[in-house]
Formats: sequence, structure tokens, C-alpha cells
Amino acid sequence: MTNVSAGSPAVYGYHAHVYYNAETFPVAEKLRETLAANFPVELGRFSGEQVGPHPVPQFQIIFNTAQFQSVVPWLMLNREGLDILVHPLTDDMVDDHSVYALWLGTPIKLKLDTMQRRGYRAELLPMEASR
Amino acid sequence: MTDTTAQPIKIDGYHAHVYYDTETRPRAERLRETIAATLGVEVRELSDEPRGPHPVSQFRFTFTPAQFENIVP
Repeated sequence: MTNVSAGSPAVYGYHAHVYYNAETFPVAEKLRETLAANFPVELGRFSGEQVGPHPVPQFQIIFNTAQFQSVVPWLMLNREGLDILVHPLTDDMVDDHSVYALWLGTPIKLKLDTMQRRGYRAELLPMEASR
Repeated sequence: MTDTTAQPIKIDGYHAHVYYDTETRPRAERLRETIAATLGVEVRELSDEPRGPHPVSQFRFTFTPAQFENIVP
């Protein structure tokens, strides 16, 4: 296979952020349960409020590069109208949430100025991240 | 490994549509060439005119489920 990664930054894994509001919270709850039952990924709590760059409530999914091909198509097909940000984990979290962002649904304007141009704390990386 | 029975819909492949305008056309051209040269996928010509559901200029390429993990990231 051609080395298609040439020139791309190192990717240590991915986050998906699933956004919800008071009305769609039950949908998000069900989606999180299905994920927990079917995918060996790390699931964050329902934030309930805005956290970091996210202006609306969300929960976070942490997964490794090998899981990308199973998790992302599943989210495409099963997001039930929820908006989802999928972003890589590189050494620059500002770029991750902007130029490298992949949106399922409608993009949400993030507060990029809450972040610094650096990588992530260990607990935000997938456990099987290859560094 | 993952229980795929939770995903009853079968995916036969993917399309990616890359949108551009007069200002970003050179970048789209370059990206298209790189894709054609390195990814081993079927790439269509640049379509400057609106076509089908696409109201702005775009080009399209087609890839298989197995290529998803290389191409989408």
C-alpha cells in the first residue's frame, strides 16, 4: 500500500464529541449506551454544560487509530440527527479542532481561543496510543 | 473485536466530494493530482458547474470500505 501519511502530522488517536441539548439528551444517552455495549472505546461523561472549546453540552469518545474504521462509519449511520465532531489527536489541539476537523451533521462554532497549540494530557489519549 | 450486528446497514463504498471555488481551484487541482497519484482510487475530473445535488464546483472520488481508514484521516 502506498504510504499516504507522508507529510501528515503524527496522529495518536481520535476524539469524537457528540453534542446534545435538553431535548436530544435521551437520544445521546441511548447512543452512548449502544457505543458502550459494542465498542471497546473510552466514553466520557455527559458534560451537561459548556466545557473548553465546546459551547454546548457533549460527551466524548476516545479511540485509537485502528478503531477509526469501525467507529466513524458507525457514527455516520447511527448518529440519529446529533451533531458530532471527529478530530485527530496531534501535537496541536487548535489545528485538531479546526483545520483537521471532520463533522458529521452541522458544524458548531467552537471557542478555539480556549486552547493552546500543544498536545494532550495522557488521560485524553487512547490507552493504546502508539507514541 | 467489534460487534457489527449493531450496524444493520451494509456500506458498499464511499464517495468524497471536494468543493472549491475560483480562488481555491488551484488547491483542488493539486489535491486531486496527489489523490490520483498516491491513493489508488477512481478520481473524476473537476466539475466547475453545479451538478446533481452539488450547488458549487467539486470533484469526486470513490473508495472502498477497506480504504476508509487510510483515506479519511
